[in-house]
Amino acid sequence: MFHEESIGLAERILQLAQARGADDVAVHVVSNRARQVRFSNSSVDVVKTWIETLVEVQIALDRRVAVVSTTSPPEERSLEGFIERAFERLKRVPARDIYAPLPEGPFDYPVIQGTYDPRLEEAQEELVDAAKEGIDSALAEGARRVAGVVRSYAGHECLLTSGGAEVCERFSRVNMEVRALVDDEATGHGVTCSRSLDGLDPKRAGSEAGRDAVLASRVVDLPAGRYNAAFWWSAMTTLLGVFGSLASGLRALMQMTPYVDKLGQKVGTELVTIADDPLIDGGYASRSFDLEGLPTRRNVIIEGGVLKTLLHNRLTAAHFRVRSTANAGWVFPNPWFLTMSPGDRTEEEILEDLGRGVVVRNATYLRFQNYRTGDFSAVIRDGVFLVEGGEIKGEVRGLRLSENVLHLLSNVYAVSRETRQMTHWWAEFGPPVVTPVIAVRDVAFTAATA
Amino acid sequence: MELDSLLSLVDRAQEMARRYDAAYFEVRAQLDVSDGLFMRNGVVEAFSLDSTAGISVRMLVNGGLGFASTNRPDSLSSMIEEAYKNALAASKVGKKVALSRESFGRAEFSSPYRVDPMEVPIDEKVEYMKSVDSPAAERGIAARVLWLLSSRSVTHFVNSEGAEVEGDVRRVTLMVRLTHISGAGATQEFTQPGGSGGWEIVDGWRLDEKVAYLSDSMKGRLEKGVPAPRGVKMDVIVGPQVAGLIAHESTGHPYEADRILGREAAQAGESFVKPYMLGQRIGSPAVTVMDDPTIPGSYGFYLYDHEGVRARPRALMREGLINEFLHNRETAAEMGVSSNAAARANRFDREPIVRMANTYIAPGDMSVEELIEGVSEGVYLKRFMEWNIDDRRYNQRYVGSEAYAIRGGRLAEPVLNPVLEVTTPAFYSSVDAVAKDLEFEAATCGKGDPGQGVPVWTGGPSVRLRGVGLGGA
Repeated sequence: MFHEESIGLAERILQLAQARGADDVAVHVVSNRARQVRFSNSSVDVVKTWIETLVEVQIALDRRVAVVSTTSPPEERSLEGFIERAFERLKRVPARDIYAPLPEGPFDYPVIQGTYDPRLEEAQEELVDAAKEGIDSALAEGARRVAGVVRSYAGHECLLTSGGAEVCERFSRVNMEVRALVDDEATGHGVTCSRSLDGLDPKRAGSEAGRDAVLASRVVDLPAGRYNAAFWWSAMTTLLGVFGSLASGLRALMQMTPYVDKLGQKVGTELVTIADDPLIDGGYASRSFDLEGLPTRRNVIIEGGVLKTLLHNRLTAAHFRVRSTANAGWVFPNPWFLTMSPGDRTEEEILEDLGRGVVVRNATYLRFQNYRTGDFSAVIRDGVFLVEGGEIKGEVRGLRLSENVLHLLSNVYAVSRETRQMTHWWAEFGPPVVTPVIAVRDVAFTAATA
Repeated sequence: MELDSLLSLVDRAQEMARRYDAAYFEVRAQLDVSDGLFMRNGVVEAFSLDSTAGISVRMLVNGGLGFASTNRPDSLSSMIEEAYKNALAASKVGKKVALSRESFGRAEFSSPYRVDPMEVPIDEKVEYMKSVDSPAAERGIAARVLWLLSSRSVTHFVNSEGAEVEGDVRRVTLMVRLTHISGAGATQEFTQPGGSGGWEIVDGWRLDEKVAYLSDSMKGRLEKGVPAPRGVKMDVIVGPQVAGLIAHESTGHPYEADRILGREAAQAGESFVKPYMLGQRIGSPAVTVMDDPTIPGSYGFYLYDHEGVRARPRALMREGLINEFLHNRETAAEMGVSSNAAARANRFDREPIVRMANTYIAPGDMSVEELIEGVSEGVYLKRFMEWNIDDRRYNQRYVGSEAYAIRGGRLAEPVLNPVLEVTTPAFYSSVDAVAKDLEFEAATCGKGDPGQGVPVWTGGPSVRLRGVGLGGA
């Protein structure tokens, strides 16, 4: 599907909705060809292709809001019926107490370079080759078996709103995760992601995963307790995703974030500056518009440890009597592409400064006991290393990160000068990130009691 | 896409697929429609209507597995060609996939219903949600979030070995999340009933009573709760909600054969359970864990899986012994057994992979009161908020929300956030008694890449553990 067809489709839907009396309408059409190569036990399991068009519509009628989405094909008859069904139901929904109309244009959208590589439209062989290279690189480091995924996406998305937004952009993305295993418990994890085929680095992902798996096969004892800890790239992808996503304005309204009532207050050390920045050229999740039609922008969420803003769509902004931050998804305002500002330390210096501490390479399965207070725990894996005197002594097995969001942010004492663009399979809480490595004092680790 | 036109694509796709020299192919058309209502503090924030419809094909060529899907009828032939090319590419660098031999035929199944949940007027649904919200609002619960989801999933599956299966399942679920704030303290709860069938199933939930109970419990523990014991060994009784989650996380997942064989190693992980452990003891004789897709009205209900194999109850752990793994045709062939119909795909564009359905600890014959009477000093960890488990499904943590001290065989004061952090064998080995108060909650189980959330029930009765450590930070 070409973007002219997508805009044409969006126009027809907009007209259908307006003809039925909608006050506000936003239509989002995404046309995508995606591919995936999955491998395990150092061998390809399956190769997949998706050829899809997604249509999403937000309709507002008399302060009632409906979100309609369909991956059904864009057939006129079925679309009309679908919109009609949405209206029938919407008329019977009670009106919202607070409402704001869609932003009114005209809009001037930022131009972001390096977000589309046409080669990713047809890259099956390249993905298979990348899988082989990732596997071989991990094996060359000493891994015994290797698992992972290579994924590509290429297409375009268009947005048309009754507020005057009309915008299309092409996109492509490619990413790879490699998990290397020396045995069942000695594992390593490597990630590479890019907007272009040339930016994919399967060798690095495979080598790093393989090296960590080998390091993790040397086991040392460390009891549960509090230690200085350094969170590496994959771990930071999960944690930074959490730190940023908790700034959603709707989460604040739902009392589902520890940032409630903390605007303008210290929530972290001065080393903590976190922004949502979808304007980075070549950024893995950069984009020029939100789903209400506003041009995206860089929003600094935490600056020097101070909570500066929550992230809003027009509706949460109305609740808080502020302006939208151009983070509109369909219901939840969310960050697009989180960044944490770099510090001044090399990774070696961070290890040296840890004292007797713990390096955490990867964190998954993060669950909150209490979103309001920020208490959570997460599974840590793929290299949980005891560090002494700046050297990795070996892997500690069976520890779990059992912490609090505000406690972590308030104890960051070092940040690496290198940052990496990362994405994570376990991205329940957040979008892709650009992250440094951070070091945190007094981090709680627990372990099974039996 | 209209249902009729979607189903008509199956024949066309089948015809096209036959032109390729694939050893095996399957075609699945699937329509998933849902409507959702999102209510915050009694106000409807948004209403959603979703429709996901399309067709997929899986092919086996020279032992290579290829998958492709589309929702565009004009891309049907491209999709078939892509699946073939993908299978061919996999065959050159991949493992040789084989599928277990199964007997196939034509079959249909559906979830019986009286009132189609997709046709219930929205205002009736809103009134129902308000009736659930009101008890919490009246008790001063600061934040109440409810999400009601009604859905229908229609599948039409055919394969080159003669299977033709049509399925049609309707479901309803309501997620409730509550936050109570008092002074500097805050505590949270969630519950999610759900099932397959018609709108009438909500009557059986008595959710207004449950929300009132949860609200009172939250207020009670913020007023009277005391710190939970830490670093001590004592008897612990876990409630049905906790037991159900444990059954799911530490029996269901590690018994998934694709994890055991390493196919999920990159993301969800592998399993501490190995093929040779079949028949070995992992728990006390008091524990039997079932996974049964055929339970009428269950949230994870189906009678044929997404490879066309007839479903049956699966006894994963029988009286403490590892009894059976969950299989699709690929893992079954690799382990030399038959599939037990665990292949599920959550939408048309997902590969069917090994999944649970309704996993539960089988009930015993004691009452909860009898379990409590048998504890001189311990904790009743009745409900949880936080949990997680490592990717081998060995080391897990459950943190109580509603929990009480037990002294002298009686429930005492509420305790705050008791932490059960334990290994899987230690948990199941410490069970000495199981009550008869079996309950189920609905959940969406996540696995796969791209992620596939599938509807499941987690279930269990109250379960008594002897001498386990309570930990925590």
